[in-house]
Amino acid sequence: MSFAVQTRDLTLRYGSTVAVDRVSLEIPPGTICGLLGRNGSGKTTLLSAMAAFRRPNAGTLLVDGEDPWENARVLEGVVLVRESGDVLSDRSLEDNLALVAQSRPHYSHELAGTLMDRFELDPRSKHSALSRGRRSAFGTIVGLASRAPLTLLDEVHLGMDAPSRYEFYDALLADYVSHPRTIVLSSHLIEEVQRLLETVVVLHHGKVLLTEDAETLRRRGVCVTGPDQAVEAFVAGRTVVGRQSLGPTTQATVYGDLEPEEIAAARGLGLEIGPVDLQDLFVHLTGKEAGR
Amino acid sequence: MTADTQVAPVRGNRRGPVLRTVRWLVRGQLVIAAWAVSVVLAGATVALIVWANLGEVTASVVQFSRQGGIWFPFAMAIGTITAYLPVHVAAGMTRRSLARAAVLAMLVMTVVYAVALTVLLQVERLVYGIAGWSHELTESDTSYASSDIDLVLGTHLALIGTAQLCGLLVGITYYRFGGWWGTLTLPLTVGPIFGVMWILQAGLGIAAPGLDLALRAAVIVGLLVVLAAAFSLATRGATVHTATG
Repeated sequence: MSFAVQTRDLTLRYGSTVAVDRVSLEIPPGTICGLLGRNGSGKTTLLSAMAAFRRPNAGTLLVDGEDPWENARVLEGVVLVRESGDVLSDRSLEDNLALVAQSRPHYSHELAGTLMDRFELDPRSKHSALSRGRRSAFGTIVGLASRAPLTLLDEVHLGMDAPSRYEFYDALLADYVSHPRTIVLSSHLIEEVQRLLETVVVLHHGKVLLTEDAETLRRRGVCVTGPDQAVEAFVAGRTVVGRQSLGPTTQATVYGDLEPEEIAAARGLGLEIGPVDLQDLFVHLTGKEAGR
Repeated sequence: MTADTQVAPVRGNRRGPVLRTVRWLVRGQLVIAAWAVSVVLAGATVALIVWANLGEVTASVVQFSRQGGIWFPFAMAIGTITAYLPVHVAAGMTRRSLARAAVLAMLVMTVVYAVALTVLLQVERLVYGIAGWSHELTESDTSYASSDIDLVLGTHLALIGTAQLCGLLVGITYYRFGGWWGTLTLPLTVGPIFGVMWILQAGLGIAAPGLDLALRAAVIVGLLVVLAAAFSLATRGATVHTATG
């Protein structure tokens, strides 16, 4: 099972601060969606509403076609894992997994066991005794082993070191392929997660800046690589959202559609044309000049 | 909006969320209660030995554990609801099921604590009888003898039950409404404990003792129902705290 998410004019406030401002979006079922945004953009608040941690102040939110607030059927199928972890910190990991196993109809003991081994976690350890990285790893285990039709992972992997993060990405992808479901992944590490994403939602100042499938987004620009001078000649007059140089070679990310003849011309200059880097695009879209 | 996949729910012998949560909460609380009762037993034994060696034993020692029997479960109830609410919702269950489960678990624990304290008191009375000591209840609010087992148990049930429901209410009020409101409403959230103490001690001033007792019991049960309803209402609207992002 996979749950879809639909919001219309969804608004969430903390006192007088508007965290999510009239957000309308759709997350199709059975996809991995990247929820991207700068700090304070409203990602966590939006995910909290989807998991019924928080009640919206205005607008509508539907998960699998129903309001998730105090909805037993829907909540059973929604898991939100936050970096802080919502676990019994004074209890062992196996106790915490037992609680999750009892509550989640699709829970996989086998996957949890495999991931516990892979992340080298001792089931008898108390959660409060774990390092930040291991707590994050445990959070990912809870999130993945629950196999919830709507799995929300909110920066859950940020505390993990690089090898553990890549273990997590591989595990997520492998389990998603064998057990498709809707996964919303919120992360700052866009470079690392972009290969996983099928759809992307970018939040900025509590509003939806864009919501598109990842392929369409990548076609919003190109990555041009080649000799310095040729690259500079080609990008002159275009919007460059990222640039890297290594010796005589430069790579520039150009925002905007390119006509086929422009791409042919670039290739004629000896330039390599590749897909746009989501991170550069994200930085460009959410930069200071981006409208509130 | 549901896409079919090969994933089938693994239901097996899964209980409903209320029963699962009651079991979970009671299991954790029972371990703590066992420790608490052991401490009372050990403390009372040591105190009794010291007292017997210093002079004549004239009153129950276990009776003084009643205050602990009220305020310890009260504190546990505060901790339980504030710590468990986010975990419960994050595990995919409703606040409604938590409210019901917490009240049921607290009722179970009320019986456990009340029976344990009553049994301890009766065992102590037995020991006093063998030793030839006088087993007096000297706490100012007790108007019965330790041999009145039904009254002893009833008093324990009323006080501990009220204390636990008040603990749940205090906990959820602080969690949901914050420190200011949690503190300002303490007279309402803790006050019922003192109210029940007063009712148990002073009675309702009705001349017929049987009727007075029945009315006292009815008033206390009514109060417990109101407390449980207030707790349930406050829990069902609670936001699970989160950092903005």
